[in-house]
Amino acid sequence: MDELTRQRTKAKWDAAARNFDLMNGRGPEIRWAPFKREFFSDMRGRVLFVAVGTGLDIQCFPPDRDITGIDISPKMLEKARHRAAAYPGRLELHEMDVHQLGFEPASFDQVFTSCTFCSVPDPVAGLESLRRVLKPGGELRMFEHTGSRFFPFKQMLDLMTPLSRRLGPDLNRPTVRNVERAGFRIREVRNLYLDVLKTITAESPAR
Amino acid sequence: MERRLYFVLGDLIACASTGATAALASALAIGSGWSAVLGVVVGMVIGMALALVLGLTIFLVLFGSLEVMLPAALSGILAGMWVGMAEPVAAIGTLQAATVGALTGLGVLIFTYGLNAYLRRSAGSWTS
Repeated sequence: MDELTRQRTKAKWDAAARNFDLMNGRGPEIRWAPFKREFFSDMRGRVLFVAVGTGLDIQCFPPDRDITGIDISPKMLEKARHRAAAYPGRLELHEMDVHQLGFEPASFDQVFTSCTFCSVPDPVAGLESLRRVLKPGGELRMFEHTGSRFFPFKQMLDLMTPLSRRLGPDLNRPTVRNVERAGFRIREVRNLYLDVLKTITAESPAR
Repeated sequence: MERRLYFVLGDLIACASTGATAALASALAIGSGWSAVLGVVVGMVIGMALALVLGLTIFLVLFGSLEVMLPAALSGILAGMWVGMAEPVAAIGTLQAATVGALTGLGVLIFTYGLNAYLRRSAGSWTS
């Protein structure tokens, strides 16, 4: 990803940080918290959490885990710090771009994402970057919204994306296909709402 | 399928109110002398625009994101289209428009709950 795109992405999420908790802290968060708790309960070993945002998901993390959270936006991280401080385990936060991860190869046992790859500017490159820092056989676990295959939802999501992209995420990404393109082996895809909101579990193949 | 009362009621309110508002706005905007095709297009645009405004300002904050906004938007679009098609043929009263809009919302909600129950059982090949 070029520097201009990186700066634009950072500025977009810095701006979104102002109202992020107001927009997402009640409806979406309470609605999906039970599913996220169950999904995150499998965290084990050294875990990378990508795009931790304002830290709304931290309340769903199981206790006593070793988690590294990253986000491109310093304003988001500023809001996440008090939530991270209250986490009963090891949780450190870093300002970092998923395309340019500053970790050694094969550093993590698992990578978790939560509504992240709807917004990463170059999703396949971002996922390849995650594969690099995952140990061979390591797990990628994603809670994501994607495009739909069904009429009229596909058309509606395609139509809304040019607007939603200005404020935050794309609504029509083929994330499951992107995970495969980045070299992961898909283990399970579970639909949570239509074929739009889903969990994806994939494995980094042994090198 | 969603079983928590707060969210079930939230989904219902979002779909019914978006459908009713879109139908009402379309009935007021579309005149009896319009062509039905133009009426359908204008009704659809009104429904979509209202759904986005209501979705982003109220429903997202209170009830959820795409799982509320998609059925609400579909309710608005269908209700707007229905009124856009019917209004040029026979003038529709505001109460009738709002009732049909709310019922459209209810129908969309039942449809999406059913489709969701089916899709949650089958992932893999159904997904992108």
